[in-house]
Amino acid sequence: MNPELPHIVIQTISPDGISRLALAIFFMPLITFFVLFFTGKHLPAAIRSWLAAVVMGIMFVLSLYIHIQTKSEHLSIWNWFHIGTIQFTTSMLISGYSTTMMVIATFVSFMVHLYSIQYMKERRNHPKYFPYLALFVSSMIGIIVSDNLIITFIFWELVGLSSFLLIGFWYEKDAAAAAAKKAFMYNKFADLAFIIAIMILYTVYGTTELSIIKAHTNTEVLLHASIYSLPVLAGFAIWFATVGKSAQFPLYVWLPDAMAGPTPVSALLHAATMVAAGVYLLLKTAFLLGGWVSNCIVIIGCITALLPAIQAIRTFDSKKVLAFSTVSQLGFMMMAVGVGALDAAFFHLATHAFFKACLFLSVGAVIHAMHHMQQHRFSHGYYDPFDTLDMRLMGGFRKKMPLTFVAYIVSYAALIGLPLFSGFLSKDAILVSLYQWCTEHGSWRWLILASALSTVAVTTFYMTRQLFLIFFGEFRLEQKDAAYKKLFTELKESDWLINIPVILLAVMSFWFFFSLNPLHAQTGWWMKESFVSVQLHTSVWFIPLIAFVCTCIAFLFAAKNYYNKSDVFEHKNDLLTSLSEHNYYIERGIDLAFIQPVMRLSTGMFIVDKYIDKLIHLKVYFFIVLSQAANLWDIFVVDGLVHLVAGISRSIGSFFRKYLKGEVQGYFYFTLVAFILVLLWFVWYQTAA
Amino acid sequence: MIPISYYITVSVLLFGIGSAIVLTRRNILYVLMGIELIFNAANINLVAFGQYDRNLNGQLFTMLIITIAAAESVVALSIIILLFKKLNSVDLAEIKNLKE
Repeated sequence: MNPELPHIVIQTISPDGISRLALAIFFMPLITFFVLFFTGKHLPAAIRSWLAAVVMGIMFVLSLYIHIQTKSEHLSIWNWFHIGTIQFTTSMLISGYSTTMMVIATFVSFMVHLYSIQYMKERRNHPKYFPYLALFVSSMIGIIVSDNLIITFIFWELVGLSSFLLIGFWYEKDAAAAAAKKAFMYNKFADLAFIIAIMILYTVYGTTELSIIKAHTNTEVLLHASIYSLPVLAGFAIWFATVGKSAQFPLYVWLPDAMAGPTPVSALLHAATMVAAGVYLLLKTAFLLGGWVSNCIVIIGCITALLPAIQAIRTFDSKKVLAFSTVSQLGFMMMAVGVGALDAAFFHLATHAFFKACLFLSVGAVIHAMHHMQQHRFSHGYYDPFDTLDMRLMGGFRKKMPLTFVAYIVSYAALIGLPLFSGFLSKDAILVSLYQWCTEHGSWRWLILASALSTVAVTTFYMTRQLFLIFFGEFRLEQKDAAYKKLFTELKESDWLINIPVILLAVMSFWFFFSLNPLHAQTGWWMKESFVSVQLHTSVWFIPLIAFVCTCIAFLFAAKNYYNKSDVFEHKNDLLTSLSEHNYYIERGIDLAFIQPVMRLSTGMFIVDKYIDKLIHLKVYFFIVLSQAANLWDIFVVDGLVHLVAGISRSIGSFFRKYLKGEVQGYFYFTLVAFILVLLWFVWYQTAA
Repeated sequence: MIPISYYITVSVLLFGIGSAIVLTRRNILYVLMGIELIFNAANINLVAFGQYDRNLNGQLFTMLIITIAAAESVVALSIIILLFKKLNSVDLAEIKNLKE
C-alpha cells in the first residue's frame, strides 16, 4: 500500500439559503443551552421551560419549511483548518434523509419539551434540565446535518455526554448514577470503533468528507472484496460504533438501565435523539457495508430483536418493558440495513420515533399519577417507598385516565403492527425485504426470517401484557394499602400540557400520516425519496398476513394469561426469569472475559511491583550506608580541616587580645613597637640591598 | 649653617620625650601634651629637610600641620571635657571604653 496519503483537492462550496437555514436550526438549541445553562437559576421556572419549548417549536416549523423546500441535495463544504499543506474541510448535507430526520427529531423534541413543562415542574434540579435537553437536541441536529465524519464524531460524543447528564439527572439515586455511568462506558467503548473507522477512511481516501468518500467507493467492488479490505473494515467499525449507540446485542444492556432518568428523557432518547443516531449514521455510510459485514449486521440485528423481546415478558418495570421493545425494534431496523433495504429501515426509524415517544409519554403520565399519590401520602406524614414504575402495583387506569389510555392503545397498535397503524407499514416493509433477501440467497437466512416473525409475536405478547397490567383489572396498590383507594377514586386525567403531546404523537401513529393506502407503504407523501421504494414487495402479500396471524395468536394468548388475573404477578423462579433479570448474563460474561483477567493481571502486577519495591529498597539501603560513611568523612576530615584553620586564627587572635585591654597607652605602645620594627626592617632591607 | 644632624638629634629627643610622656603619664592632659611634642618633632624634621628643597615645600607643609594641629587639639580637648563630664575622671587607667 502506498505509504503516502492520497491527495484529494476538495473544492469548497458556499452554503445556499436552505443550508444556512439548517445551520440556524442547529445553532438555536445550542444558544438556548448556553443561555439557560448560565442564567437558568435566575429565571423563574415557567420562563425557563417555556423558552426552551418555544425554541423547539420554532425549530420544528423551520425544519418543516426546509423539508418542503428541499428538492435535491444541498451540499456545502467549508475550509476548516490546515496542518502544513493538509487542508481539513467540514461540510453539511441537506437531503431528503436529513430533512425528514430533522422534522422527526424536532417534532418529538417539541412534544417532549411541552410534556416536560408540566412533568418536571415540581422535580428537583429543574434549572439544569432544559439546558441539557437543548444540548441533546442540538448534538442530534449536528449529527443529522453534518457530512463530515470528524464533525459527526464530535456530535456523536456530545450526544453521549448529554445522555449521560440526563440519565443521571437524579444522580442522588444510586441506580441513576450507576445507569448513567454504564451508558457512558458502553457507548465510549463502541465509540472507539468510530475513531478506528475515521482513521481507516482517512488513510484510504485522504479525507473524512462522506460525499467524497461515497463518490470514490465502488459498492460492487466492496461486495466481492476480501475480508481484510480496508473500506470493508471501516464499514464494520462504523457498524460497531452503532452497536453501542443503537443498543445492539452484546452492548444493549445500558439501555434498560437508562430508564433511571426522567420519563420525557427516555422518550427523547428512544425516539429521536440517541438510539436513532446510530441507525441514521449507518444509513448514511451504508455504501461501505460489504458482503460479510451485511450478514454480520443481519445476524446481530436478529438476535437483538429476539432476546430483549423475550426479556420484556418477565419484566415488571413499566419503562423497562418499553426499553426492551426499543432494543428489539432497533434490531429490526438493523436487519433492514443489513439486507440493503435502507428505505425500510429509515421508514421504521421514523414511525418508531412517533409511537415509541407516545408510549413513553403515556406510560409517563401514569407514572406521574402514581408519583403524585406517593407524594400526597408523604405530605400527610406517611412515607411509602414503593416503586412508582412497578406494573404490579398499577392496574385499572383505563377509566381514570381515558385520554392517556386511548393514546396508549393507538401507539400500542402501531408497535405490534396492526393494520391501519404506522407500525404495520414499516414493520411489514422490513419483513418483506427480509423475505426477498431470503429467496435470493436462501440457506440459513430463512432462520432469520422465522426468528423475525416470532419476534413479532413476542412483541405483541409483552405489549399486551403491559396493556392489561397497567390499564385493565383492579388498582392493585390499594390491595396493598387501603389508604390509596380514596386517592385513586379522586384521580383525574392529567394536565393538558401532558395530554396534548401524547395525543399529537398518537395521531402520528395512524397510517394516513405516512401512507395514504393503509395496507401498503408505497403511497407515502411527506417523506419523499427517503420513503419505501416502489419496486419492493409488490407481489408479496402473505408475509404481512403471516405477521398479522402471529400478532393475533400472541394477543389472544396474552389476553388469556393476563386479563383480570392477579396470580400472574408471582415471581416465577425459572430459567427465563433469571436469564432476563441478568440480561442473559452478558454483563457477567463481560466481567469474566475482560474485567476478571484485568483484575488478575493487576493482582499479578501488584506482586511483581512488591518485588520491584524490594529491589528499590535494597538500593536505598546501600545508598544510606554509603551516605553514612560519607557523613563520617565529612565530619572528621572536611570539617576538621576547616576547624583547624579557624582554631589557628582564633588562638592568634586570643594571644593578641590578652594585651589589648582597652587602655589607650597600650595601643600606643603597640603602635610604637610596630613602627620601630617596620623601621628596623626598612634599615635592614636598605643595607642588605 | 647648622648641620642637619643637629636638627635630627633635637627631633629624636623631642619624639622620645613625647613618647615617654604618652606611655607613662596617667593624666590624659599630659598625654595630649606628649602628642603635641611628637607633632613638633615631625615638624622640625620637615623644616630641616625642607631647606634642601628650593620650593620650600617642607616649610609650607609645616605651616599646614601647625594649623591642623591647633584645630585637632581643640577637638581633642573637647573630647576630654566630654569624657570628664561622663566619667568624672581624667585618669587613663579608668578609661577603658575602647575595649568594647
